[in-house]
Amino acid sequence: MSEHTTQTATPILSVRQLKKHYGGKKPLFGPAPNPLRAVDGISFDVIEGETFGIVGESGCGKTTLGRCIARALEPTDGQMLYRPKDEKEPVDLARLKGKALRPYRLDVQMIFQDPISSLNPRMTLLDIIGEPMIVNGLAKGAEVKRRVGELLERVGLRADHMSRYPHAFSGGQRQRIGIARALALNPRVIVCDEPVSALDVSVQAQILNLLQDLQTEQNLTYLFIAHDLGVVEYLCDRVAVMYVGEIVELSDTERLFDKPLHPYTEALMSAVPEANPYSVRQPKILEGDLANAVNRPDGCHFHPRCSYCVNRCRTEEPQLRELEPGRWVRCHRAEELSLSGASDTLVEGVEA
Amino acid sequence: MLPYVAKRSVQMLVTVFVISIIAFIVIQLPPGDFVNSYLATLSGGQIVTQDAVAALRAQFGLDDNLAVQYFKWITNLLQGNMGISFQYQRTVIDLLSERLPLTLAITIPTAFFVYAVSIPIGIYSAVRQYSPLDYVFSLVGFIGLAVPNFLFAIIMIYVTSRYFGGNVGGLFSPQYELAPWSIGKVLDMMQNMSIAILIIGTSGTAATIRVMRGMLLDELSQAYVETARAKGLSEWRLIMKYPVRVAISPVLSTIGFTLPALISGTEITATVLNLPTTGPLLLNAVRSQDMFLAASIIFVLSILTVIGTFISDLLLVWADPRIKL
Amino acid sequence: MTQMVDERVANMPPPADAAEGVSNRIISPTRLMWWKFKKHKLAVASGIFLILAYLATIFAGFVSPYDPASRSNNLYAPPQGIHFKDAEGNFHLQPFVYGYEMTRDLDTLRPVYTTDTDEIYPLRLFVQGESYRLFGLFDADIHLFGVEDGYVHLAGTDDFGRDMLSRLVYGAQISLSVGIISVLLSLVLGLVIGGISGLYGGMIDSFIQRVIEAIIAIPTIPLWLGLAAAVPRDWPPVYQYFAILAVLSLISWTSTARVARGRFLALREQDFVTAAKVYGASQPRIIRKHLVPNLMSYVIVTLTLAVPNIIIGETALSFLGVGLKPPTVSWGVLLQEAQSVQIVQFYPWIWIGPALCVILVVLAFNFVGDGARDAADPFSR
Repeated sequence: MSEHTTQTATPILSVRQLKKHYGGKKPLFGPAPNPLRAVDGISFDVIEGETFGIVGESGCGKTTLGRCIARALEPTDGQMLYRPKDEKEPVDLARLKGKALRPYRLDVQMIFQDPISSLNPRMTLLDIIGEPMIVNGLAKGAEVKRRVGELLERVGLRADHMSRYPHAFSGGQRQRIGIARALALNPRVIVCDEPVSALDVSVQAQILNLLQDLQTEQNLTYLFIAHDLGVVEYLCDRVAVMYVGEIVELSDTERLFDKPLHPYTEALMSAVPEANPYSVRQPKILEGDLANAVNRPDGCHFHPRCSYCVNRCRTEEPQLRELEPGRWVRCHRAEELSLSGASDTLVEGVEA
Repeated sequence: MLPYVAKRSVQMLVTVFVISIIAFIVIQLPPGDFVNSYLATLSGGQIVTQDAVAALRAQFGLDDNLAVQYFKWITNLLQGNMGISFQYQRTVIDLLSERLPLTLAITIPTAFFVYAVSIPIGIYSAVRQYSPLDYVFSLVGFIGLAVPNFLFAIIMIYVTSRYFGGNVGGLFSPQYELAPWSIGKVLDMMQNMSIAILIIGTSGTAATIRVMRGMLLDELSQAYVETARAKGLSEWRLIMKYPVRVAISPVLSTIGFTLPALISGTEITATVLNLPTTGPLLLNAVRSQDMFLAASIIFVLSILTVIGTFISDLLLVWADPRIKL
Repeated sequence: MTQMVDERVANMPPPADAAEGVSNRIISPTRLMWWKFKKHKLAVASGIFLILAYLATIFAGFVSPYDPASRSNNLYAPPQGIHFKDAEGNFHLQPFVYGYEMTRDLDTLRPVYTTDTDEIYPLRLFVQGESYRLFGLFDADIHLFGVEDGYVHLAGTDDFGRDMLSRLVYGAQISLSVGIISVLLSLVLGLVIGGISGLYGGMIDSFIQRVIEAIIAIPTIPLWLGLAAAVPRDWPPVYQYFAILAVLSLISWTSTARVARGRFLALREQDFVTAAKVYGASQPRIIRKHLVPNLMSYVIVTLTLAVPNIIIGETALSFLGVGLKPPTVSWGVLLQEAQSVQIVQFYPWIWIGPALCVILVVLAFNFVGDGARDAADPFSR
């Protein structure tokens, strides 16, 4: 899986200094409040055909980031340079609106976490999966029916299910329907927003395998948002770790799990339950809550919860820097610390 | 607390502003302007000089456009000049100060009656869900919901005259009507008022019981109740200490809906029972298109409900710190 | 009883988690709602009652034994009882009513009626009687029931000897239609205003919210009175009818608007709406295909619960003499008679009839609304 990372190919998507702030508008009276910085200056490249993971606790802004990229939300600032198939010049998706954005909407689709709320309960599968094609003028009438049937079979359901409503399906099946809807427009990039975290473990593996198969078949690029590190290690080529709207570590999966560079990453990994009963690993418990995205701590935003915190961390905000080729970290003490990674049992745990 | 009071006050002023516009619309809606209707209602014997007519027109700016008219009306209103009732040939403020106290004297006790009766019943119905008494209360509640105030008043008149030979209606019984004030007269008045309170309160009670019962049922199914029970807290203490306290504040905050409904009920019940509140006055005003009087009554009653809601909101915040300031 | 249980089992939706094969029955969400609604027996019974009531208003001429305006010599006659056994104890297969004997109380000059057991008028179905126009189109003279000679006043008569039952049926035409039509008006107003409020948010939203708050703060009946005052007295009845409709709906849209706004806000955040946005569905399309179908059930519940208020409103306004006026017949107009203490005391059937109708209909709408509220969200347990 790691062969993608060594490619020198131009990225399909380059995110630069992306920001999404909420509120902070000056009210009629009084001073403007601090905005909620859900995503605050994030930059990374995604290479065609890879699976790029984004992990973090809930509330860290990873879902907002995914929604900005799929343009379900309008970013406050920054660029999202997307390189369309037959065009040399990248387009900035963050700048486009309405009609101008439409052609590129086809290329970037989304899969959601909640299998219940992601499907309109008042529509049949035919309508749910067919609507994207009709809206974008890709198919009409019987053609829609034929293609919906194909898509349903492709994701492991039966074509004759298309006249049913979502409530007749289980969580895993519903997730397959969501995938079929995302595939309806033949996208190149799919933002997967925790697509398996609401499912049973046995069903999770099926869905993950389906996603992998589809990726190889159609050369899809995934932006995979998750909080479950096991899933990330299994599926992703590269991973970005997010904390209160910023990337704190970015690396290829193998090296990240072997030896993380950021204390937050280490803490996340130690929280993963181990399948090995003889393990002597001491879990690092994260003290306190996720920092407030409205009033973030001074210095390193992670310092109040960090067990390696020194004075410098309290006052000086660290920058994201490349420590080794392809490994980025936002920590003053990254060189001196020797952090422990996750054990290998994780991978087996998911595949079982 | 103070920022909340300030914010809520601004909100209240906006609401009052919108209400004043609605009241102004009520004045404007009937065809013809009010000086003409005024002249039309005058009997032949009275003579109004051209100057007097012109002065009236100027005072209320009847020859200006609507915005100016509204502005003049509202400034007059804020200075306590609510115009003249042509039907009664008196100032509106005069008539209101005569009638409004009784409206309040009926509505305010009714509000207390509603909550004092419905909260205990609601608690009982929730705790003893599906018990015979719960069904009885539910039935009574439904009937209270379905019988409009004025029908209930008619039924009361019928039942008392038919089976008790008594007389319902009026603020005083005939023997006290012209009598000077005495303890007997006061008691008689309170008795007549209490019938009104019972009538108006019943439908408010019915609705509030339903809310209280529903809220408490939701609360009783929470896990913390189970925990407290497992820890061995006695049932009634447990219920009164936590779930009731949680359930009661949303119930009390329904006052924003209850208060206008109670005033509505007071007005219509008073016309049936012939109590000298603003109700019969409003009805007369409406019947003879005495619009300044009608709109002023509507405006003042609405302001009263807004203020009542405001006060109860503040009390609620003061009593329950969980409510977001 | 067992049959009922079986039926319920048969109606249960198939287990949704069936891993492979999903049952072959296709069940729409509407169907699920119907199943859930059917569980409330009282709601179903009330629904049937309301359907019958509305049918009766459509076929008012046929259902009522007389024309509501035709007078008779039986002034202030009390309701006749329906009998099967006559005075001699003979059983009649066909029910009948007795005739009246009217005398006047010489002190009070009030008419006093005694039943005359010699006059027996058998009740018949589909009798020929006074002619009427059905749907305003066809002339007809067949009535659902009646007597061939003599008279039948099952709900008594009023001061002009008019048959109260016929007046109640014709009154229902006005009172029940006012409820439905003005609720439809408030549906349109509420959906549009609430939708705008929920979709656009910001200044528009807070302005609309303030207006709604103001309307809620104004006591309803006084405001209705104030608005009704504007209806010119000399307007023909049809105009007055629509004017009163408008007055009633001008206030009742607020509850629909609040519900619509709340649902719009909640639905906007649902992932399927985000998905539609991501694949490029236009705003109007999202509203039409994704938002409105999902909030309609909630709106319908609010509307069902709003109908009783409208009916009470019409009744109250007409009762107070500022709503509809005779010769229009509505339950409120009939109740105007109860302004007189004489009638309240001595001729109770004149007001008990319309009062009972109002109460029953209001109760029925409340029960249906309660059942519908449970069914509105068919996926909750």
